[in-house]
Amino acid sequence: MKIVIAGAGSVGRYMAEQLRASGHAIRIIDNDTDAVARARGLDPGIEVINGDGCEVDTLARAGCRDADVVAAVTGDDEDNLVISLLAKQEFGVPRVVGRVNNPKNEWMFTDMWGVDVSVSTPHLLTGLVEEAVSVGAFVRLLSLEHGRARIAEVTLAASSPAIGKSLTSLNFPRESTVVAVLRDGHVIVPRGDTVVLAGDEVMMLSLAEAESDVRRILIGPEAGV
Amino acid sequence: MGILRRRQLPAPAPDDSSSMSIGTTLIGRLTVRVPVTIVGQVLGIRIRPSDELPSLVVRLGDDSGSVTIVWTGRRSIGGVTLGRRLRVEGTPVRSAEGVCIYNPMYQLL
Repeated sequence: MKIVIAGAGSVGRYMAEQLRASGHAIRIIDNDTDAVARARGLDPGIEVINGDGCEVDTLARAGCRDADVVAAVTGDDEDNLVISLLAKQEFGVPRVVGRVNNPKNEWMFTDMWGVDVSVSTPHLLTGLVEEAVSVGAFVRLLSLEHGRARIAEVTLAASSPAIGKSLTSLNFPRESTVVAVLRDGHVIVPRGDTVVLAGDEVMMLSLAEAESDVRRILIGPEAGV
Repeated sequence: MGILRRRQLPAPAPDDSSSMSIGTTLIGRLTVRVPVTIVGQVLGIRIRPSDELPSLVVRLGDDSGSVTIVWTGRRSIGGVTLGRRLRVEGTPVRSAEGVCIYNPMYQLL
């Protein structure tokens, strides 16, 4: 795939190397001399463009016209929004990924600004910390389709009404499914006859409207809301 | 900022509005991701709920087909009314709702 990365800081450079190693055609943009110099020291297959990603001309020079993905990953949310909007509006890039630096700005990273997928590091970190410390709580890990669906995780407390039951008998709503059960460091691919135990981490994919039912099934009525 | 700067200039004076103009593409022949100039009539205007982010969504059509035009950040544009003929310059983009042109340059005809 042809991927344009805007922002050659540590995030952008890391992505460029990883994606290049997976065989993608990578172009990386930055207007900071230092960042450009460092990016030029990466894999010679990575093309480095010295310019302002917030300008249409620079994005055109980086090949946005036929890029499959543009990732706006600078350390500045305003820049990331401008780059995302231009990538979508002027070049019709099919997948635009925007990095959210300040979680207060996350609400803007939607299709209104050309963003298909937003990634918020602070939000992810919060989710992961919550996940590590909470048993019996419903922890949202990832939003899909602008929050219409979510991947969430519940670590089953000993008091969970689901303990000792098979997934089929738990009767999850149609708008949800168990995607994995993590037990003692092993990943169990769930089937209908998989029985869940206390301490299991159950990963769920569910639509927003099914979440309260899922909570009730895995956590119980009191802790549900 | 070439394209953006051009947008901020006042629209050129209206010219012949009677028929298809030279240099425009039929709406039925749009190619995604190729910038175009089209001329068409406003067939519909969609009102968005007031609690959503503001945007103006217009269906623009000619004899060959129709396309969605989206202006973000505003709820209306003076002169863009049902039946109005517009010249629009932008890039067709494939979106969840079909082919759209976002925030194009426009001229009331």
